[in-house]
Amino acid sequence: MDLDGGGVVTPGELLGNSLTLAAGRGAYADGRSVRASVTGHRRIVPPAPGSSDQRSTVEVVGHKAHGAVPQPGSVVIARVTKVMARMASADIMCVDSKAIKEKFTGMIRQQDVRATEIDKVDMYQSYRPGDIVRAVVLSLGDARAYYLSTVKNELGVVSAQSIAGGTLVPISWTEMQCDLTGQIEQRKVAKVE
Amino acid sequence: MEYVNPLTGFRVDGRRPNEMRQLKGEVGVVARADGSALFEMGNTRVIAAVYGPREIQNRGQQVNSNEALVRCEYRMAEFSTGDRRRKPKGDRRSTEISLVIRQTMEASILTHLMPRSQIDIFVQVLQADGGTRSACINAATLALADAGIPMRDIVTSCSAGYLCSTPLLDLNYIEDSAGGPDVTVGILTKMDKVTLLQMDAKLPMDTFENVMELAIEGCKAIATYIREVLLENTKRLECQRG
Amino acid sequence: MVALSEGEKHFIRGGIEQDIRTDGRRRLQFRALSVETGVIPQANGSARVRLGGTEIITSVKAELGKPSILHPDQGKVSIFVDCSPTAEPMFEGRGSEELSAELSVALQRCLLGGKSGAGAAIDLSSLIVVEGKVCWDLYIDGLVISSDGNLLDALAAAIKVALSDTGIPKVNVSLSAASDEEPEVDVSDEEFLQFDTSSVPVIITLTKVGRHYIIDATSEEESQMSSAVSVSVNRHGQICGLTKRGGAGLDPSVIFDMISVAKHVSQQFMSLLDSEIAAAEAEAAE
Repeated sequence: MDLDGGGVVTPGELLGNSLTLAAGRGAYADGRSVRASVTGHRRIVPPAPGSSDQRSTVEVVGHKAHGAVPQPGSVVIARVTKVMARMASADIMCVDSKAIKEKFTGMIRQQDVRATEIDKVDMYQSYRPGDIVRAVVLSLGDARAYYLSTVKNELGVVSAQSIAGGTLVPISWTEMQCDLTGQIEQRKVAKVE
Repeated sequence: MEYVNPLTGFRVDGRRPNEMRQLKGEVGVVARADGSALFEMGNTRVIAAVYGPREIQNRGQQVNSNEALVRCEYRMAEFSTGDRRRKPKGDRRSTEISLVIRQTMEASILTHLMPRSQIDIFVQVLQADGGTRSACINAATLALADAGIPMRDIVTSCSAGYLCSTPLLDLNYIEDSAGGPDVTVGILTKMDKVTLLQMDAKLPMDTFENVMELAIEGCKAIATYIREVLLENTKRLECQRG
Repeated sequence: MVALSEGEKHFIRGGIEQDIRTDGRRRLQFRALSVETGVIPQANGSARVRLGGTEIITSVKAELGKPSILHPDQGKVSIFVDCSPTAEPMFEGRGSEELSAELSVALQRCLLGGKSGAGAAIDLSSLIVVEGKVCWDLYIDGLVISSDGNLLDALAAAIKVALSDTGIPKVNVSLSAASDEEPEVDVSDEEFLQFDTSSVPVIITLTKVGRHYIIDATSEEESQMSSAVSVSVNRHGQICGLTKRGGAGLDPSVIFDMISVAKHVSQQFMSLLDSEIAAAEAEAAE
């Protein structure tokens, strides 16, 4: 069925029938046939017990995957670049713990900062330019930027610098303290495990 | 001029009518690109480099935000042709070839997996000796595979012509400039689908079928070779990792 | 484009300070050099030079032309550089024009001497076929395939290798009686004259990062430079051209110091290049 390469397949090669196999990473279904989309090792993963789909999943794992692209649902690390009254824009730098080579632009809207009292959110009291934020990608957003959300306890500012240039240490859900001057600044703080 | 020797049946460069030129493929030739490849068909030699997927640089070019934007630029080196002259960048021929390569590659890339991002393919011709279009597509395929960009299939391209009442595979520059028909075909090899088909000059229908068959055979041979290069490269990487 | 975080910048600068760079090199150490000749068959001479992640292809083409009226006893040499978008997506379309022009001019300055042609690395009078009538025009084309810093040094090295690979066809001139007629020229396609490249200089660029300067900078290191001085030095240790880039001012004494270091480094690089050329030629002859 495949070239004799120790289980190594190249794009387009037939991996099986979609009635018996589901396409996982590095594979895709084209009508009834499941084919490889990257070069790499073929691996068959048995179906998770209790799942409705009884097919095994076939994956192709290559040596070099393309750079990560943010998808709805991925957790990203971003640096805030600009804070406006209704939103803050941020450069996405990591996607699912993988650093990306070149930044993607993201945007946190006022209603996506926290879960409660979303109408009373003050953007300037939540983020400052330069803050490192953990967020989840909500959607592909508008033409300019991905929409990001920090509506969860573990999402929000994870690292920031104070006005004085010191490191900010979280002291509550909404406050961080400068380690040099002791001054308190307002932030949407993330709970870091 | 006789392009096929009537006695021996050999062509001007000593090949048989259905014989392809020597192929050579090498991946990872440009250190800083995400994927790159060198591809040679005889004396035609091209380099392709792939950058991306990355954020779309020029928003105006974005057509569909649910799919990756594929871009391509084709360039000839100053010294790639026999006579040296400075050509303006972005002339019509280059623009057309860029477009052909882009459309062919777009058909094979699973663009819906990388929404809102762009993939740049740059092809640079180092030496032109006929069949640059095909060589560029083959190089681009190899570079995309090297970059790990998910593709439906390996697209390969090959040309065939018809001179001295003989279908000829993989025309070189002399045969190409003879003025006979030149059929360039690009196919998705495993799925057996034609994605690119171009021909100039006229040809009777039944002959055309034969010439196109020949070009498709050529594409398949190239695909086999490209798969070998990819497997070879995977093995080499494995050895390095131990 | 090189995007670096504060930490990375600090690491690069700190490494240079302590004489161990991010790739393990010392400040005055080159990256691995590899040389290949005869890569473009239809050119009179060609070379591929790789210096770490930087890769250059150069070709030399000779065409018969007419000498200029101002210098009837000299041939003409022109140098063009093109940066392929394969090296950097930024170079697509017209994006590389500025850099290409900068590199071309810097190379012309270092290799072609002054306007009168005095002090040129290539002996222009050796290109003359019939004085005032026929001469060789040399076209040197450099193509940047892959760029990881130090393009100028790599280009100059590639040109030197390509010139040493260049064979100019022997020309037989049948002198006609009337001196104002065009002489008949017979270009031999068998006999070639080797080119004298002994006086072609190499370029050494010293990149100043912090208080120290380094040679053969990568693009990451170049992004941290305050200024750079490119010195072209020939085999006899003579300076053939000089270019300073970068905004920051330099103390004249520092410049003299940099020149003497460049001179010292150039002799090492020259002998390294010579041995690579010899190896490449031996390989091509096989």
